[in-house]
Amino acid sequence: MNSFSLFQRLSPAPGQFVNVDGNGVAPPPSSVPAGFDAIAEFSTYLLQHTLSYNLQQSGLDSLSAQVPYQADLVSAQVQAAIATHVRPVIQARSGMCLEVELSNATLTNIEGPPVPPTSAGAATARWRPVSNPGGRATIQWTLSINLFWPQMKTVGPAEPATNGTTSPTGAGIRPSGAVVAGLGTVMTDGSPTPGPGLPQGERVTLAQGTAQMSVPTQVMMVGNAFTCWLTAMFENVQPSYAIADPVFADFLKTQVAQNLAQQAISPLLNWQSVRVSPVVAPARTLPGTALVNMQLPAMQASQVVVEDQAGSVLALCISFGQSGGALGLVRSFLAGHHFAYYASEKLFKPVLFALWNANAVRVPIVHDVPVEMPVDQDSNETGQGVARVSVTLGDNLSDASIEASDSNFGDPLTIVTTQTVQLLRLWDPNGNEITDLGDLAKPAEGPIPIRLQMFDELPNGAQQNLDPMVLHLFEGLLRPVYMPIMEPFSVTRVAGYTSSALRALVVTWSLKRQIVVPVPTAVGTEISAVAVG
Amino acid sequence: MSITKDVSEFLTTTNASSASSVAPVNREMLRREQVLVVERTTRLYEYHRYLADARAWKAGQKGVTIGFEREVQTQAAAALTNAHELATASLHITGQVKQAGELDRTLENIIDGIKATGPVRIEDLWKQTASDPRIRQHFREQGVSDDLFKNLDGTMQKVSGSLFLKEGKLAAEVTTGRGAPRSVLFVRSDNGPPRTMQALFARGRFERMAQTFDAWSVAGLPAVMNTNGVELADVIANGSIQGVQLAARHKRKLEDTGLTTYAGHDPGTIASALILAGFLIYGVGMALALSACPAGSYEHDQSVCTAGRLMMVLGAVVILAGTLFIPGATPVWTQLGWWTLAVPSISGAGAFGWLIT
Repeated sequence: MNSFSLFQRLSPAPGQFVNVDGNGVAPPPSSVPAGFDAIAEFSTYLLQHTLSYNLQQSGLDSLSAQVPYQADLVSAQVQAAIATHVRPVIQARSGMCLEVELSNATLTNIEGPPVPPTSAGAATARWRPVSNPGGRATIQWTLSINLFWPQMKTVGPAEPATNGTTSPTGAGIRPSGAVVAGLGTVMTDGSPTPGPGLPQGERVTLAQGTAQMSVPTQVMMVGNAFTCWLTAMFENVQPSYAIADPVFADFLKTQVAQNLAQQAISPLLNWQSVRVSPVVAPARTLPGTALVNMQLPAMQASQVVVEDQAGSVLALCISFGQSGGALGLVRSFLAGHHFAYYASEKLFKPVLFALWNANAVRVPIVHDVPVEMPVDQDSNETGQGVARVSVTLGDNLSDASIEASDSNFGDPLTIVTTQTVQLLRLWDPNGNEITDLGDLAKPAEGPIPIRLQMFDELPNGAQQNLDPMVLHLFEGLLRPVYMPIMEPFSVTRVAGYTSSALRALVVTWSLKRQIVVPVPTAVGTEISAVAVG
Repeated sequence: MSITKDVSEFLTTTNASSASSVAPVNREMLRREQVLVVERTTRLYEYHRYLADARAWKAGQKGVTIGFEREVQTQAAAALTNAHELATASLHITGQVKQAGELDRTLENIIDGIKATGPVRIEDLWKQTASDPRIRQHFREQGVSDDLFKNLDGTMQKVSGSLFLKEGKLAAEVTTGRGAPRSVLFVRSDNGPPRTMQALFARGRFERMAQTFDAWSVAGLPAVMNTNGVELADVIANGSIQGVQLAARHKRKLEDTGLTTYAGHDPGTIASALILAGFLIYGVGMALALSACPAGSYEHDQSVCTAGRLMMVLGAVVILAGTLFIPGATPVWTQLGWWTLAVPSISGAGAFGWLIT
């Protein structure tokens, strides 16, 4: 066991080793890098959230298929079960269908590919190929067998006929949703389009079970955009179904049910892959030319799954150029959060250079500043005058590094650029304006270091007033550092630390959790979600 | 006083400053700060010795306990505090004597001496100073033990260079044997109407820097120096910042990666030793100068006064040697010193995580 594994800094700086939820213990900084240039870690909760988000975006969060109910399609036991749920008079309503529905996809397990053992003394084990195959995600759906009455819609005279029938007068009622053409066959328009979502109508659930899919996962990467993510490959994956109710367990084995299940799942299989992890994008939305100018070596990414107190953690490990990383050395540094991101100077320095250039403030900032100067031309006595200066920050950074802090605050991220300063006006200590500035008015250029405390709160009572243009610049500069993913998730307070010794930074945050509150309504039940921080 | 002939010729060519031209200083405060300088330097030298022993001991063990590592970190934290206090005391002392005009008089004194004798080798200066029994006695009176003086002497063996005149100003060239020699030109404090914007904004920068040093961390201060014309006070200020920064870097490295077991001949250790040595010589020299320089004071002794001022300049040059050879993150040298005030809306610290929450 690493002798530093129980270390905490003796004087933990505010913002460092802070666990927002207080659930985790932060590992020592030296154990984080494992030889990689960047590592992004995701809790199972975040992966679940991402999977749900992406399924929803693709219209694949709810899958279903229907067939008009005919008694001879099902066994007597099923007919009897239906009778216990629905009175015959309701059964006789036109349009009643049998439906197989899959919903509430849940990531129940994630496994990484086998990791080659790291031999003792081998500081740099060979890393996996970029595709790093062999990972799997277990996704469990809620399987529902329903009776379904599609919602009837009114159409106007000019509306073209699609799936239904129209009356000769051009006005009438037609069922929405897919139209049955033959026994056990549901007709769609045939193209692999995003799922239409759950058809609207009334449902009565006859039985519920699960549909479990063991889906291969793969790291996908767009190397020249410096993005990577983990995707679940659904093509050719067949679920295994399970229902406790023996009657419907038998029904599942029938051709009708199997056809329905296959039709329900076909949009997902046709879609082929769905992102399980957020897209890691250290340079976020920088244009291609800026990325090229960063002159980083080719990006490589691989996956590994590690465990911590909260469960499984997916780690996407990124290297630029020849990797010295060892997957076997990767440890969780989530420390109770949902997301953690480690970035070495090798990555964040060129990214900050490019981001600064993309967001540079090219408009001069004008301010009045106090200056010490003689009270008049012939006097040795000095006082405080006022100088109005115009400061233009440079378009480029010349350095970006993390310096050690000598106080209880964290190590500041120091960026260095140039400033061109010009004296516009000058008032002496007596308030008299000096109109003839002479050589004083000549602009001068010099470096300016700007130190940013990434994770510390301002001291009590302290205020920081940033020029709006400068604030915009910092937002463009730091947002990709705090949030190196593409998805627009709402997050809680950002925590983390910077290490001058490791020349790296670690960012952690958690999703703002949503509480689902059922709200009873006149028809059925609607669900509304209330976000809480 | 017995000064060797070479240095004595140097010393006797100077003029004493008139008492009426010397602005007042708080001698008791200066004395206390000088005691602090020597005391903290002693503690830091002891820490360096402890660190070497700790490394050697760890190298000989198959493994060490967490308690041992924590103890080393505690010692490093104390060393950082000592470095901060040493630097703060040096800044306080320098600020006082700067306002009293003593730093400018020091430069004039040394310039007069070099005009008379020609360029002086730094290593010769030190050798003669260290071998003079009166100077050694003065070091003892200031609290520098023989053991500490021996360490100081050892560090000074790494420094070589010369003091000479360039364009009528005092110049120094210094090397520690690593890399090319570096030169610096010393200038007097700015007086009179500023002629350039750089001069305008340079006024009062030492005082602003000292104030920020007291109130904030040095991580908020860049090195402000123009090696084409630097005030003695700037050298002390930069040495303070860099010295504390080195200690902070060392402490952070211990916290994040643990105690390394290789011997401490890395450039950072050498730079620290030089900066410490420089502060000690500077502080002791100032005590000597302030006691012996004012004409009309009963302690006035011109040769001792000049010896003290020589040690102040020597100390500053050694501090400079240390700061110029710091490895790793290069200090940002700016000629302009506007950083605290030119654009106040972009300086300062604060968490930026709120940008995305």
